[in-house]
Amino acid sequence: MTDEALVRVESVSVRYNKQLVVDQVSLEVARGSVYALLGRNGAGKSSLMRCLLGLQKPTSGRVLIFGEDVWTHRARLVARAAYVPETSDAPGQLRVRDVVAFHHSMYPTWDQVAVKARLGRIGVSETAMVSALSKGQRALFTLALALGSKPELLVLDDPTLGLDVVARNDFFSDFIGELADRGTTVILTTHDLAGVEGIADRVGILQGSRLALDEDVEQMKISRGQSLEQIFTDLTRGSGRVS
Amino acid sequence: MRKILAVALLDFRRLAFGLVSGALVAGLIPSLASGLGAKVQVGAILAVAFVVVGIAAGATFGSDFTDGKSSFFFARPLPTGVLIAGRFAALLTLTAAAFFSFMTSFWISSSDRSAWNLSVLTQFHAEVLLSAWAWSLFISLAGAVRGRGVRVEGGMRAMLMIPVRLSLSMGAFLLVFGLFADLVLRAYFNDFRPIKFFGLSWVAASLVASCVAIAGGRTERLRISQFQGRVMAAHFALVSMVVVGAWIYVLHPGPEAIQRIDYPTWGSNDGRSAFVSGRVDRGDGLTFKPVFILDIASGQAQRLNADPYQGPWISADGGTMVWSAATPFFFRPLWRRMGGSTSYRVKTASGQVSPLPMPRKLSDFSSVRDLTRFGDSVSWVLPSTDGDVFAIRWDRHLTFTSRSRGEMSDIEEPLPGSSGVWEGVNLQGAVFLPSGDLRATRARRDASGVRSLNVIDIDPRSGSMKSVASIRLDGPVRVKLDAKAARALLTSATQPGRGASISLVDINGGGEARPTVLLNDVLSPTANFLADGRIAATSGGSVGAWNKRALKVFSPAGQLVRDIPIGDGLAPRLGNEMFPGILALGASGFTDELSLVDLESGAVVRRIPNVFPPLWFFQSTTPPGTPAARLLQSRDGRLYELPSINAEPRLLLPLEKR
Repeated sequence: MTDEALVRVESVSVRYNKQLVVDQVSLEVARGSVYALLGRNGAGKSSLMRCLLGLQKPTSGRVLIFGEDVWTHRARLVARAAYVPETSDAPGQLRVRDVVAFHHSMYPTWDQVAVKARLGRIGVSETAMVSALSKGQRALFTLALALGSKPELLVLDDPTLGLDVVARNDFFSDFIGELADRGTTVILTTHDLAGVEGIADRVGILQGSRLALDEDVEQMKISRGQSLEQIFTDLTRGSGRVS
Repeated sequence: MRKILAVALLDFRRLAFGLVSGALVAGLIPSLASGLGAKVQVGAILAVAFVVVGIAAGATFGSDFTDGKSSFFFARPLPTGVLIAGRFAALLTLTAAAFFSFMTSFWISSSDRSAWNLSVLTQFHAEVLLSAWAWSLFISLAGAVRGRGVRVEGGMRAMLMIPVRLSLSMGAFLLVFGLFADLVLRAYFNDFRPIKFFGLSWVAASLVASCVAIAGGRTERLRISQFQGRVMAAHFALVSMVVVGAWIYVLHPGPEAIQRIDYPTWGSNDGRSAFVSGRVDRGDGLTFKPVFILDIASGQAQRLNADPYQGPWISADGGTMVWSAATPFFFRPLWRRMGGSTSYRVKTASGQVSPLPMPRKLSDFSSVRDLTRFGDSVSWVLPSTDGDVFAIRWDRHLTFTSRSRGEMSDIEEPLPGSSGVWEGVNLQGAVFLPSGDLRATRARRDASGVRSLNVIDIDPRSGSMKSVASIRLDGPVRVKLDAKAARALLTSATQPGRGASISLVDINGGGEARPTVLLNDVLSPTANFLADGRIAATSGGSVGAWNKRALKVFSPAGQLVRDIPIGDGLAPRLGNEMFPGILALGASGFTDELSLVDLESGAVVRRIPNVFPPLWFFQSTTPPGTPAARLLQSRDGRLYELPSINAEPRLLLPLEKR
């Protein structure tokens, strides 16, 4: 592991019975960088994301964050990290303020003022039921919660899913950029290649459950002379599954 | 602690409103029911309320694992133990809230202020709450992680394996449950602890399985499902081993397990062995009293693997024995459907064991409904001396079957009429005659209320009955036929102010027989035929002299030949002729004493304290002087043999510890 690598994935495979969804993937994410993990539906991105935060045990291999095995030391390590899943995981029967209060109890670094301010900006009332929020509001609410703990590592699993075009552009240009400027390490999966092209320092592309490409974005574009979308399309054509 | 409370608060916020509202309504039920004239126990309603709380809290926990929602907890710095502890704390908090809401509602609606206290809560409430929570969590977790998720993650094969696995699991569970139920029915019917332990073990296993699955699977449904399945399979394997082991150990004790002998215990008709009901060092001590066959001379005892109260029934010569073999009770219908034979067995004098030829109309566990008739499908069997014909009493039927000829005849007898007298043939004390007919008695009561006792001969081949004699009675009597069924001793029940009587009837006289009264107006009489045809009778005194015990000996025709006063004391009871001409008399009260009386001299030749003759309601016809005639029983559950008149009793059972 290089000194700057905050996340190190070592030969991780994920298998569901006989179905291999992640095959011997190894990668490193440098501290303060933005890493975009790309792949078609069913390529194993979400499984790998869950492994990154110890939510799921790899069938083989291991994941180190902050230099320690995340499956073994999950509770301690995720105090310095945050996760935004594909769909909001906050219980729908609760009010927004109850969920915020729960997070406040979980993180000593919790920034209640910043969270309230962020909720105000996105137009989410604290008294609203989580189930009453729109899909976009829920996604932004989940992001607000993730940022409330001022994480050193942020793992985003397709965070723009459900966001409209304006919100999606804001997300990539301002939100992620701001995080990167603050030194937060970001790992994200997304289908929004155009959005990610401008902010990602490094990109990995999963093809047929294997990591087919893991390169610095700028170097990749120079060496290949293609846009990220073109590279992605060439690499993954015919390998995706419908999910 | 802060994190535990935070988790608990989440559940409380999610569920409190619904549960507290429900508890408030539930608290009104006792009063509402009372208004409608029904009485509803507060504790019972509270238990139902707790079950609802347990189910709701468990289901909420389990359903958090649907569609990856569990990342809400696992992506936070929340150790798994804290998560589970928090959910448990939520359960307790919700329960407390529901309890106080319930009691408040009950207090307001009820005039019974005394019920407003914590004593309404019992251990049972804690058990139902935890059981409901554990099962609800297990089922909801299983539901959340199976189905669609398994199909996607495990493929179609995993989906197809679900019903196969479920069927195999159910089949295996039924097998183990069947053995467990057999164990409870036979050995722990009066002890609820094994059932409770069995049930709670499944609750505990389901809780452990859920916790292990949550800790080991986190957000991965397939892994959660696998952990749940593995823990439950391990528990099932453990339970199977324990149940099979307990079934073998508890229900199959050897004679060394006998702690004390019980009732009934009696000598065999051939005089060589004894049938001993024993309490053993396992079971609840009340339900399970296995019968051992003791060879008196060698002291070797062997357990008869019989259903309770289903034998052994012995022929008059002791050569043939019938019993119901204790095969696993709940599998009998299946066994019968697979072509298996009845559980009733016959052992002939040659030692050959074969199925008892059964009445055709007797269902005998050919359907599941028969499982309700454990231990009473056949009430009595009388084997003939040659071991070929059997008189079988079941329900209102008397059926004759034969090993060589199958079913011979079936007599369906009427229900007791308005007189309330059971007019069926009494097999107990009946005798197979040399002609092959069965001589038995039956009580009658005519329209004017006059009681009579009919002695009848039944032809087993046709079932036809022929009246041999009829005797008018004043009340119910106990009948004892002699070995040739030519005479009968009638012992009436003791009537207040009148005492009881003993009469002798010559059956061969035919028609309306006139009993010869041997004793009248006596207290607690007993009587029996002696080996030489004479009759011995005892009484605990007369109505006017209640403590004046007596032993009287009558000639075969009923003339008094000897009147032996045996002093004051408790009413004696006739025992066997332990030695030729020496009769045993037992007297039981605060202390027991056995007297040996020389019938020729009338002298009490020996008194042995703290023992009495074995109690057997239907006096056996043990030959005098044989080892079986010399059995003694003590109140502390020991069985002895008296080797000679002056010898010390020899302990037979329980076996002495080595």
